[in-house]
Amino acid sequence: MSLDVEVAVRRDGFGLDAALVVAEGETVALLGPNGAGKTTLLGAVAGLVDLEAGSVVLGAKVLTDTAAGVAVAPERRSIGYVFQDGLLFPHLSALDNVAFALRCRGVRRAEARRRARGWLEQLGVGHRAGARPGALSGGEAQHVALARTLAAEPAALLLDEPLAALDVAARDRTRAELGRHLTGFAGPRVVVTHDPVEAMLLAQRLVVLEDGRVTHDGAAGELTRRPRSAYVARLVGLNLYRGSVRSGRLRVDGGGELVAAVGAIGSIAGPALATIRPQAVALHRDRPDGTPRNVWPVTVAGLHVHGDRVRVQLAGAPDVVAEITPDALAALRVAPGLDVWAAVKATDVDVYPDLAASPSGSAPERPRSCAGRSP
Amino acid sequence: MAVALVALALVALPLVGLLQRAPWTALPGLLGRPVVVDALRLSLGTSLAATGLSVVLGVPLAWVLARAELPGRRLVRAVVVLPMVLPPVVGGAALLFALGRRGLVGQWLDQHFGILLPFSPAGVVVAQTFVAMPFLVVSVEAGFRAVDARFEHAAATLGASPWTVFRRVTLPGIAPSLAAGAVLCWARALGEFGATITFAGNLGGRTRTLPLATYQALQSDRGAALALSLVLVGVSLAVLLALRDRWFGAAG
Amino acid sequence: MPARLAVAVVALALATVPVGCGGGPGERAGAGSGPVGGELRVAAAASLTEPFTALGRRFERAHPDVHLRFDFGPSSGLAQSLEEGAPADVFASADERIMDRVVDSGLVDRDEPVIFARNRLAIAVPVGNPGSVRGLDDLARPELLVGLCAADVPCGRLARALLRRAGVTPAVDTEELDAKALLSRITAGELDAGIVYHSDVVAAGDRVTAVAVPRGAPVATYPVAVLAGSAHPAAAAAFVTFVSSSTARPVLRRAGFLLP
Repeated sequence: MSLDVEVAVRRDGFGLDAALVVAEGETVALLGPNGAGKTTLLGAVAGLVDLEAGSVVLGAKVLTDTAAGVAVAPERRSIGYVFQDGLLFPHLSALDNVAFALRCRGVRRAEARRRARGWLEQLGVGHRAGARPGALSGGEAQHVALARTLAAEPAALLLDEPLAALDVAARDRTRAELGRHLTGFAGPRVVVTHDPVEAMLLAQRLVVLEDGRVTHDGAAGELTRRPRSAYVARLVGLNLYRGSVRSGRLRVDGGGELVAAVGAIGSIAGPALATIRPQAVALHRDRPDGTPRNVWPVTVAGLHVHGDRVRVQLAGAPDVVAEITPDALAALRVAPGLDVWAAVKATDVDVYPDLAASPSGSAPERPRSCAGRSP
Repeated sequence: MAVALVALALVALPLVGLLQRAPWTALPGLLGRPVVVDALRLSLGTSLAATGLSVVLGVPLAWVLARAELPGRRLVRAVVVLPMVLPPVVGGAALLFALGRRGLVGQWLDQHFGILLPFSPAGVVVAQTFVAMPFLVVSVEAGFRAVDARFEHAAATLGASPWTVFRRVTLPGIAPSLAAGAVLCWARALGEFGATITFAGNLGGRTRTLPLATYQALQSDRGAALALSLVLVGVSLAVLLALRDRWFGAAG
Repeated sequence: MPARLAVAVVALALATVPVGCGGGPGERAGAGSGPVGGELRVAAAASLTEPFTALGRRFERAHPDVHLRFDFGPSSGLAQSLEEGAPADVFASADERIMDRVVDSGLVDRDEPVIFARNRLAIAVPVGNPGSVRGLDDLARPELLVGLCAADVPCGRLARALLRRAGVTPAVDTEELDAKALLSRITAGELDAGIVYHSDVVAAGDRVTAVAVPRGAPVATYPVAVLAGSAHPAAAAAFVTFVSSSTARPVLRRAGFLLP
């Protein structure tokens, strides 16, 4: 039973146009910046948000089809939804929160409680059955919320930032358990997150939503290696350039040119993206001679220490972030405002076609180079 | 500072006057008089009935005002809260023109069902509900607005029908507002005078509630009037005490 | 010093806010012989509204320097206000007992009150007499909506005396605080019948129909008196004399009153 979603939502100047297919037993991580429409998309799937157009199909069951006037009520969709901060009913104990779903399906009170206790124990929070949500820790509340959703025996599972409310220590532990429970769930599942590590640990496939549109849909490795948006590039810490390839060179939108290895760029023409790892950027006081094919003057805009590496933000045509060692930093006497030369080997420039760029040129993200992950 | 003290004196002095004149030693005897007992019994019965009616009718109304996509909702709300600012006597007159024996609807009720609200305890309940229900509606509407709709969404995704959502999630969410609104509504119903005497008349044991009895006794039987007043003051203090956390909790 | 100012203001407030314990008549200044002119306050039984308003105009024509201000209401309520210290120069009651009460509290000298009018009772019914009321017996019919004045106001006390004498136990649905309030319920058709003053029925004209009560029924007696604390005793005395004068008698008679 797969989940097949294609929705358009308009409200208050915000538009969501997204398609998503999740196979049976597959976990898809939905990534995106705040306000990108991730929660709206889940709401549309769960029937909580009105669609302007589109359809939601779960297996053989059409849940929404605006063209046919179908809109199954949320309570009849069999779609489990774990909300961002759990949303446990504050007036009910943990046990009664879980029993709620069973009671709604006509299970008698005693039986519902018995089964609810089973779910809580399965999720490792059986000892908190009598506690009110206010007395639960973030991790416990999240487990109870998941137990409550699973107790309704949904056919598909949606989780909205299930770990966001937890502190770092609890998050690592809970993430592993959550991964186990997700694998144990047979239907399609969607996890919203804006943590790429979480996305990669929990999901087989990553879908990136930006400004109401899907900008990436694919395996985790592909996303990190070849980001298609400034947002993803920032997430994975790459320099990303958008431009167009002409006679073997990428003319970067906003200024500058990049040369890539002939084998990589030879087959490409038209809109393209290029990434450069910050570690691949070398800095020189004087214009270097020799092998690097990409050499251009830049000005130091900022410095950030990341562990045993230093990230140097450089302004030029194009902007670039370099990652160097503290030794190199000392040797170069790099300081903000200093003019230096950036050098990148052609083999360190990865160029790939920009599939999202339409002929009219209205790409979803702003055409500009991007810096590395901000601290 | 000085003005504040004058304001305080203005509010506190009449109460002091009442307490100072209270016939404390004779009070038990006065409270046992038929005029007091009848009025107390009638007032308790009608004000509780009016509160019940206000809850049954007012909660759905508050829900509509808070949640429904209603054209002209502001107008509807203005009409609903009008009795809060309307002189109660005018309210009573309006009730008479609507539900009185020769009134718009009252005429029809009388002819077809033999229902006559004026001069009956039911008329007292109607007058009290008219005046007191807005207090409940306003309080409960605020409660509905304060309930996070996402809890209701969560309940729906767990398979709860709209009615179950309302009963098991929304209602518990508004419980504090409902309780406060009901207490206010009851206190207002208990103290209702103008609309009651205008619409329902004034007959001992049938329509003469505590405030009516107090007013009437003031003209002939001061002792009874004071005893009745003290009963109403006691009730008011009890209401304040019941709502203290809600009103004074934040101020300490 | 704000604190001292505050104390002073509160003291002032204490002195001006009515606490409910009014002073006795002796405390009231202005007694004695003053000029006839000024504003004359007349507290009068509600049933006197029509004749006193008419008489007041004549009196003011005869005494241009006097301006009359009437306070009409149930006699018992008025007496209560007077005892609480309400300012007034003349009191006209619909009941001798209430005047006696006022005399007893020292607000009126004992030999002061003069009886100037009497008033019969009448059964008032709405135009068309929907309840087919023919006499006192009908007031016992439970299906009719019947109103009386409250037992502690004169018209209520008299009406009960009348019914008791006729051996009728009325099926009362409401007790109004004065005869005017009762009459307005009858003219509006909210009630089928009620016992009011004959003068009220006359005042209401064709908005109400009267059913006669048996002869020999109790009659209301109207005493009038200058209050001991009057600020304008001369003008007050002039008014009291005027309402008993031959000029006033036809006005009272036309208003449905009997003359002593």
